[in-house]
Amino acid sequence: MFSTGFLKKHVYDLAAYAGLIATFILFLVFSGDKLTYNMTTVIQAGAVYAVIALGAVFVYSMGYMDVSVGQQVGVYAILIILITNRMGGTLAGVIISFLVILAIAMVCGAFNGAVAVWLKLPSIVTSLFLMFFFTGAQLLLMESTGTNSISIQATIKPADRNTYNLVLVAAIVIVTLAVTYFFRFSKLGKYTKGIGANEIATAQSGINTLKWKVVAYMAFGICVAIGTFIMLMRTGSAGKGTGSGYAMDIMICLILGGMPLSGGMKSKVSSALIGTFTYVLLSNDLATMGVSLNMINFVKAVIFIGIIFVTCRKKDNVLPR
Amino acid sequence: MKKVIKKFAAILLAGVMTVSMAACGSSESNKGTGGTGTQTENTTGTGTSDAAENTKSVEGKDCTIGVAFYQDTGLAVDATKAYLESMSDTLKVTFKYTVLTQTDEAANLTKIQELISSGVDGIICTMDLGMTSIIQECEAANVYIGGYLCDYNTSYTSAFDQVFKSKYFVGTASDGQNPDDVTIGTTMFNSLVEYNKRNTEAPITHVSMAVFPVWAFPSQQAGADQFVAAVEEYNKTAETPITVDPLDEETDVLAFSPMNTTYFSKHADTQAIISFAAGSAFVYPTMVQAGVDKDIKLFTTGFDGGEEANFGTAGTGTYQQNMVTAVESINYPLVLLLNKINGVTFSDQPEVAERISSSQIVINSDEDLAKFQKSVYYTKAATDAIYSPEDVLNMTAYANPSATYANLRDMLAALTIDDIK
Amino acid sequence: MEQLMIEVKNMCKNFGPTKALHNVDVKFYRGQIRGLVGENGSGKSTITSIIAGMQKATSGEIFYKGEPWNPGSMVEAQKAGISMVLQEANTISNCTIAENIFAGRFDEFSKFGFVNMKKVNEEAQRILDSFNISHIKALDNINQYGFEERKLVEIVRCVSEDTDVFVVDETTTALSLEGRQLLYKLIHRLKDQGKSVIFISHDMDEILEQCTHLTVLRDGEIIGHLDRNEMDMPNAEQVIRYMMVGREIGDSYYREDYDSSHSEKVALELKNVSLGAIKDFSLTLHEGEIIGFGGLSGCGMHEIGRIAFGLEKPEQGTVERNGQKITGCHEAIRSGIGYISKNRDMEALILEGSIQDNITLPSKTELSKATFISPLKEKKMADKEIEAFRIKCGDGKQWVNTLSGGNKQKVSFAKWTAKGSDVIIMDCPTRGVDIGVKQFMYELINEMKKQGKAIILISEEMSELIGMADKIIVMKDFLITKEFMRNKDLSETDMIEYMI
Repeated sequence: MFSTGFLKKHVYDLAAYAGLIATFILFLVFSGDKLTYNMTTVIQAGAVYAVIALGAVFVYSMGYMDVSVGQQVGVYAILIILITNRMGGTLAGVIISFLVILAIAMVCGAFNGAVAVWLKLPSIVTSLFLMFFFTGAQLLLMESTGTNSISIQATIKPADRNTYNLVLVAAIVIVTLAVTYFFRFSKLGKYTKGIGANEIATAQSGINTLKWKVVAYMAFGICVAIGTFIMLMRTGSAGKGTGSGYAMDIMICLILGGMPLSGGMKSKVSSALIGTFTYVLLSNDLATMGVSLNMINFVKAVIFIGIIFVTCRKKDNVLPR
Repeated sequence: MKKVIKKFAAILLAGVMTVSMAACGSSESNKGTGGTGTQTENTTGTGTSDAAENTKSVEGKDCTIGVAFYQDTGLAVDATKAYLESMSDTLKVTFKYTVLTQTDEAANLTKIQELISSGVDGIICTMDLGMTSIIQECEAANVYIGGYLCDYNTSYTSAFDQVFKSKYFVGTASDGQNPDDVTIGTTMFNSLVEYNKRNTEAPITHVSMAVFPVWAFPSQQAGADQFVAAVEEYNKTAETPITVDPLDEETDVLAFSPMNTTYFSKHADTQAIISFAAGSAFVYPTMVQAGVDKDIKLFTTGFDGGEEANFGTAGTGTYQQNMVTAVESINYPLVLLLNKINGVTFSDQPEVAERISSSQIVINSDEDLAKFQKSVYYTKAATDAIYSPEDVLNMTAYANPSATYANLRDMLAALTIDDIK
Repeated sequence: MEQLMIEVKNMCKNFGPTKALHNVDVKFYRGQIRGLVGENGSGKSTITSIIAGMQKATSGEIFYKGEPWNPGSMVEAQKAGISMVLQEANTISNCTIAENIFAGRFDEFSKFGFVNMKKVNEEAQRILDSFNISHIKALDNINQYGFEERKLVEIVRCVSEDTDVFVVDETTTALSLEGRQLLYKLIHRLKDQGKSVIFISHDMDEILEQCTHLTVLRDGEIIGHLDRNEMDMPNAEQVIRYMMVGREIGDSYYREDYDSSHSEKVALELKNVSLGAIKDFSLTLHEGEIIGFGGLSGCGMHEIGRIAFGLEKPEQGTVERNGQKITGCHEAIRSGIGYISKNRDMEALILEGSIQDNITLPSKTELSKATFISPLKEKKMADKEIEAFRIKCGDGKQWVNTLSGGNKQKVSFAKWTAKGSDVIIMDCPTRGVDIGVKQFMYELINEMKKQGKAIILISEEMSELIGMADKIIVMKDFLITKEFMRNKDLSETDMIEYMI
């Protein structure tokens, strides 16, 4: 029954689902005989965004955001390559390098969450700091290699395209299940949503908000590490610009998926998936529809503004803290 | 209730805008291909008539080729686009363009995937970044790829098997010379000597150099060595020997950012800069900034447009030599791609894809410049190109069965300023 | 003189399936102060908020000065002469008083796009002076001022020469006696000027004293109208209450016993606590004891509540429970202390969250089993409290911001009963709550006492303290001025002299 009340209550969800369905239909129509190929590209590009966006749900549900994720991805990718190559491109090297960046990502998450609280700064400021820090680190690391692109000397991507796609889909499914569990059925999600909806009330309900902010950011860090690895599987190489633009892309994905930027109880895991695939499908649609590739950014901007306009509830509530 | 309606109106609007924009794009491209279809009947009709006399030439398929540039405008890019568009009807090719990043492999891969998604049959790529994964995509999608303005040195040295041996990679025309085929040092030296011949009363006796990093342009370092060797050889007999400052890691290697003004304190006595790096964009602005553009001459690569005002005897006369890759060099990957798309091959086609040095148009004097200004670079007209669309069609193996790979290489090998009509 | 100002005809307002207003007809005349009374959720605020342009009616008509009236926003209504002061704080933080007063009206002071701030400030101070609140300075940042002063600033902002209708929605609870007097004077002046005042309050005495007419609502319907004569009848209060609740309530909704005995076991102890103006404060709360705190709003009693709950860290001294120091609200809650904040919407509740989310929030640890929180258990816990508290709602998934004030307060209570807290610190627990809910709360507090729970009851309503507490501590200027033990003969006048 589509009563007004129903529409009103679910307008954001409906808009998000409608967006996904619309882009998917266009995808089917315009892909033509390229459908299979396009599916794989959508999965490939989508897997990285999806995994990182899923982790970002924890952060965004608190009404916070992170602008350092792109540079983090860049540095982690370079580190994986450097460490793996140093260890002779062995499987052990790949595993150890992944564990190293996982640890760094979690430390950075803890930093993001804790420093913002200790210094009473909006978390965007600490993430800005991290962004600059990682930008510098990325440049320095690349300068030290004396080239602008380094490749991993180990095979991390399944040679068979179908297996590769299967691995990606599996990664998305596993991360989705894990994030859904922790977001919907554990304290972590309940508390991050509480922090987003009313931090004072949450704190006064006995929740150590500092601790949970740190945990939320660390969970995000884990997803960033996994996302980095998935990204690295695609190209097997990284450079000075690897990861640039990811922070904005992730934000756009979440917004397209109906995630309120102010966080709170309306935050949903599904936003990450819906948004990511709407975004990736949209890019693909626009390309297959023959929109000049230079126009795509412009069209995306228009759609983005449209979505913001639709989902904007209160003016003062839209921007993240 | 009103709010809800408003919000839905907003979605609708956004949707309509998207679709209409998209529709704009597609209808345009439809128009393009439609036009191509009707026109090619005429042009191929006349164009192949001479070829048809030789043997049975095959009419080329309608196809789409994506061109991935390194930036979206600029003299060279604009000229290349204009040249390609002017050939679109004759070759029955619709061109699509995208811009790659200089630093992000994953982003480039996505751009290439988008090109493939949009239905291209072949790709001309100007950057060697994430090539192994790009080749894999091309293999998966049955799309051929060739290079232009890029020596693919990283792939050449570290991923030769994956890239150059792939049957989907047709080869590349470098921006200037390949590292193993360097002549630019000699060219620069000749230009310098010629300048001194013209200006006997005030010859240049002290020069310094500038190059891009070796990871990006190994040929420039080699060119610099060649230049130094040539000068040394010259000094053995010359009355007025020339001093060359050796390359300084700190100031003389430009990491794709403008030269630093400290260059001029490092090279206080220099009378001319021999810039193997694109000097119009990376050296000249710094010269102006440091106020030395009247006193120091610039011999450089990378003609960018706008140099005319201070070239040779004009203006401050800073530019004494400039060079640019002949836009016609793009025909190397283009013709090879068209052959592949049409399922034909040259009888003398090498097994493994090659990289060829592309012709540099050297502009050395006022006369050269005047001539260059009549080229396709400035006029954007196919009639002013060294090779017309019909010429290019004749280079392909399907339109001209007697065409050969050697012929293609020869035609593109030694284009000079004098070839401009 | 009986000139019609606003006429509401056949108005309905639905929030989803909930009918907030049902065919309401009411008339507001010039020269009247019409009180609107009714239980929480009876629709008082809904009527005024529709008149003032905050929301739209589902159906029905309004006529303002004889013309159909359908304002699109509060600004539009204010421009047309309808001003409203809200229950909750509505000032702009981090701005000066003057900027707050003239927010949205800078055009009047600007030339070529430049605002003459000097003029703005002067004019603001002139207005403040004319309201006899010169102690509020136009140039000061509003953050320096407390809730009460901010409320006064809001009133000043709302009322101007052009105001024809002035709506006071539950504002007086935030004001001290002094502030109230000021407001009363203002509304009487407006009445005398032939303007119309709509006055919403839960304070029956206030209503009976200040209003010229009265309209009673229950469950979104008009139950009746009273004029001054009827309001002066000796049993008027009884009648009105009956009309509001629909059943006999009786006079005695406080505790009836005067047995102030309690366990000897100490539940909470403040030992020589100092913080800011509070010096060397000690308090011992026993199980089964209700200690009331009374005083004016700036007397320091609210701070005591916050310190006891670990929200404020004392500079000296300690808060202890069961021999353990409480250093933060986290430990406080873990040791079984609950706190009902005075600032309910900002601190106690997640308004944009469901009743279930709110009730179960402090109890997640108990609900969690190897990181898993069963939604079923959550629902069970919430439903139990919803039933016990008789919270008026569809189900536990309903959002708290759709509830009326009294029901919100019930949720805020339920958080701690669900958690099973043994010490409850209540700061103004019945603020902005109607009689029915109040009665319910008092029963609950009494019940808690019987269960041996320890309660700190901080209140600005003296009758409540007298009616409920075993011991009343009266504070003034951050000092204890008097302690009263529970006593039948204790009266408000006894207390007042120690408060002022």
